[in-house]
Amino acid sequence: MIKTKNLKKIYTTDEVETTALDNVNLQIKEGEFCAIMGPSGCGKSTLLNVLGLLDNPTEGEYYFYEDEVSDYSERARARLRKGRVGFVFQSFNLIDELTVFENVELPLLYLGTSTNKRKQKVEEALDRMNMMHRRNHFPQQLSGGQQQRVAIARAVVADASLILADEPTGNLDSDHGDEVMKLLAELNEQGTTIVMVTHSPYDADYARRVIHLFDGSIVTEKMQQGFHV
Amino acid sequence: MFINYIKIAWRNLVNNKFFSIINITGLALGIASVLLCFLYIQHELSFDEYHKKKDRIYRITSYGGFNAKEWKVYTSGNPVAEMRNNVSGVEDAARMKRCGGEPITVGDEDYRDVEITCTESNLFNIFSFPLIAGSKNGVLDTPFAAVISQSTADRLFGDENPIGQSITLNWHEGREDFEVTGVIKDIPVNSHFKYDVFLSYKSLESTPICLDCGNLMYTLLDQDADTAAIADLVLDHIREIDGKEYVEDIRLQPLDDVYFSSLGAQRQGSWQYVQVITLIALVILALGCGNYINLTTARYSQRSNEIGIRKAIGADRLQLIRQFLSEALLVTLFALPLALLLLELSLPWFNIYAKTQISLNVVNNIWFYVALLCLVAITGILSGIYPALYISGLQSQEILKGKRDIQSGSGLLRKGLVILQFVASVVMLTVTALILQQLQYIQQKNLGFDSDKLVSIKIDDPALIRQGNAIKQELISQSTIEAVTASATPATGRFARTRFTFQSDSIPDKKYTFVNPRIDEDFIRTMGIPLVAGRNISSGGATKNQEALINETGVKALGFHDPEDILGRIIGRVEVVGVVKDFHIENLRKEIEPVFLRSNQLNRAYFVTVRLTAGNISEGLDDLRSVWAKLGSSSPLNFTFANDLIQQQYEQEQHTVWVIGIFAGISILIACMGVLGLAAFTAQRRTKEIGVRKVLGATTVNIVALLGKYFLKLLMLSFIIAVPIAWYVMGQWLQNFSYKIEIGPGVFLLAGGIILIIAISTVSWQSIRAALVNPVKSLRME
Ligand SMILES: Nc1ncnc2c1ncn2[C@@H]1O[C@H](COP(=O)(O)OP(=O)(O)O)[C@@H](O)[C@H]1O
Ligand SMILES: [Mg+2]
Repeated sequence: MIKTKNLKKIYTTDEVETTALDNVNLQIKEGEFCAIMGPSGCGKSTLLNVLGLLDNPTEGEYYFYEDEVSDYSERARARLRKGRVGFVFQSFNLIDELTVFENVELPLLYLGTSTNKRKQKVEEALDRMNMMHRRNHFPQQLSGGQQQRVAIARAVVADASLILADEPTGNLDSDHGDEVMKLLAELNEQGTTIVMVTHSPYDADYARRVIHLFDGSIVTEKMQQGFHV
Repeated sequence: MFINYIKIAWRNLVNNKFFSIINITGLALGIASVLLCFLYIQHELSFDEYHKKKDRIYRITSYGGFNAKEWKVYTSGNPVAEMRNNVSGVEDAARMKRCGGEPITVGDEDYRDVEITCTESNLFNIFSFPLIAGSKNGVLDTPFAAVISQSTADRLFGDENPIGQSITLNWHEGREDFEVTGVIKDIPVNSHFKYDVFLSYKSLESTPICLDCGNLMYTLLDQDADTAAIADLVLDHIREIDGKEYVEDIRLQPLDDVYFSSLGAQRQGSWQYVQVITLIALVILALGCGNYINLTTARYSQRSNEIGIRKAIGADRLQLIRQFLSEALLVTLFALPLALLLLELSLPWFNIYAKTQISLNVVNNIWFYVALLCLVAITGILSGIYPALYISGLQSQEILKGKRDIQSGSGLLRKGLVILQFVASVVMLTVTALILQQLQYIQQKNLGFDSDKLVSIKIDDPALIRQGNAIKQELISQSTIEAVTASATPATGRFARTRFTFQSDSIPDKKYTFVNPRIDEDFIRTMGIPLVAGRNISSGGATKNQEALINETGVKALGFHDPEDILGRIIGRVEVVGVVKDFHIENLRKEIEPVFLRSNQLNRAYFVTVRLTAGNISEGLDDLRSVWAKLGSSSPLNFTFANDLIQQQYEQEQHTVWVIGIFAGISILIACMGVLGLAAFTAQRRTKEIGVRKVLGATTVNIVALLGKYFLKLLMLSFIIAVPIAWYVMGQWLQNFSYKIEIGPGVFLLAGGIILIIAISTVSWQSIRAALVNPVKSLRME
């Protein structure tokens, strides 16, 4: 599904060069659940952004399905991304001024989905995340775990086949975190490919495969039997 | 502590250069406008204030007239002697009467652009016009004496001593020599009259001119004189001695009131104008302060940490208020030099367009600095007090809880201020557009005669004035000249202000007043005024039987329906031989009046009006010049195009439109800066949201629309508020005109459209910038 070859990402700011990714070679197959671990600043988020088509690599090749997208323009990447990639962030990134329903509806709005279809899909997604009863609340009125569930609903509402989650449990206590992890695992069961950054070995155990990054390079990679499934 | 405030304020200024520049420029424009307005008002109020005896000086005004009774400044000069000698409470009195004419000749040189009047030595006792040469007592007591201003003396005589020199000027029907007996300091600009040359009143006694007619009279009273009683005595005197029944009342007008009096003077002020400019200046200051309040309260959300911590550490409310006020004052202080620079740069320009002569001399005046400091303090407090009260009133846990609360709290005020800015911009823009529209309407309005290629020549040479027919013949023989008419009054513009009043044959009590120009037989042909009935007046000049033409309005005024019915009637010993179509003698402020065009029996050609043939205007003017040379005129050709004369009547409106137009520009500029700042701030505040939306698939257009919607709504609301205001204001203004445009929706849509385009491009600029940022960056800023 996705494949990178000698991926390199260098940030240049005020004459300081940071090599965030260095020769990353990675292949992720459809239906996989992959965790990325590593110390802070090792390039996890950067990798996720490149994989999610939010950013271009500085060097190397990146195959998204069949396309080699490493030098695609922002516009082309946005087109490719729409409806296929869903994002889940550590800080939820819900829009405060919009209700739960409206937040989840956004990706469909930008896709140009019709009103009826939108309503149906948003309700479906909220139902899956068990958040239908909160559909008219604002994000500030929800607990962290609930907010993250809304964010996941938003990520899946347009039937994304790839979900990228950047420390989805980082702002949650362990109970709520577990709940979120179960939902992600469930999505994976139903066929969605998931790439997740996490600091927690416990959460990583949900994944089939764990990749360890250090200073921008993959140091170990191992397949494992999921304990929690 | 104060140093600490200043330090924080300074760092905030430097760290947010973009917002600081907007704040400082907005305030500077506001302060500069108010200072300009302040100087303008001070200038207007300073008129005639420099006279040492100003509190005791009065102008005499009279009420009367045959038909249209009105207050006038011209009255009989007869009572002066009586007043000086026999009326208690009067210290002195002087009369002044128009006389003499350009050019002034000294040696071989002719000088023009001098204002000449006849008056008495007493004038220099009443007013403070210091004599710098000549004997103080009785400089103008002998006939054919002249007192001239210092700059005129310099102009005429250079380094020579002017006293005892001789000047020659037009006098009655010839030329006359006057001896310079005194030199006064130039009359200051802030005086209601401007004269360069004063001739002795006694010179008039040897002419047949009516001495008691058309005098301006000034009097100097004792400190506690009873003005009403003195006015009564003057009235009695005029009625008894002169037997002038038509003077019905006399009033003494204090010098303080003269400049702003609607009765007229050489320089005349307008309260309305002062009020309008004051209002506009205050609005612009409010807009500048509004920008500050808007951007500051908006930005406080970013400083919520600092404020929360200060509170937690123990700052009380007063201390916080003091901090934010000192910040506002500091910003205002920074705006001050910029404001002064703007003032200095704009003043010469303002003087030209507002027709004022304001100088920056006030910088030598301590009060100017006091006023400046007050202005800074007021502006600073006005800008700072709301943000200070608001932000210091928040509970610290509220502040630390989240940024959202702070924004929604001041959101209403912020919206209000943006609306105020848009409303002011739309109103001023509409007003400017409507004034322009009215001026254009006036220009295109059919005046009832053909003003194209019509040239009016003023004849200065007394010898030529009596040779009207010769001039006409010379001129008409030129191929470039189509028609020529000679008249005693100019053919257009302030044409023939004299009125002709006569009694009706049928209704003995009724009196009619007609405008009464003196014309020749070529008048209607030259002017292109069609005849409706009867015939033109016959040629022959000084015939015994005078003939007259009357206009359609005149026919109606006399109670006739059919123009034919009036033909052959004798009105005031003159036979009406024809009726002409109505035409606009004066300007479109006035309704067309009854006109009585009487043949010029005096046969004096004070004015000659020429219609050039189509096509070659410059050749025509060349021919005019060569004819003038051939006629041997003692004075150069002095001509004006009729179209220019017509334009001159709307000078005040043209100045007004300039001033308001530029102020409109300034207010749009401030409003735009405010919108720019707010848009930038909104984009900044919503960076994260924009990032999220982009991750979810929003395009640049989606983002710009999202941010623009807020301003669009405010703009719509402002437009709805602005329309009735502008409509009302213009309705009032247009009442000055009898012939005026209809206020249609077009102007409003145009003004609204312009503001919309400017505002939307301003907002878009910031929004597009925000929309183009890579969402990865915005989301990393957590
Ligand atoms: N937009 C950016 N500009 C400059 N440096 C960046 C940027 N994004 C990330 N970095 C740097 O790249 C490195 C990797 O960052 P990141 O991928 O966020 O690490 P992680 O998510 O593993 O904590 C860090 O040193 C970070 O400072
Ligand atoms: Mg990270």
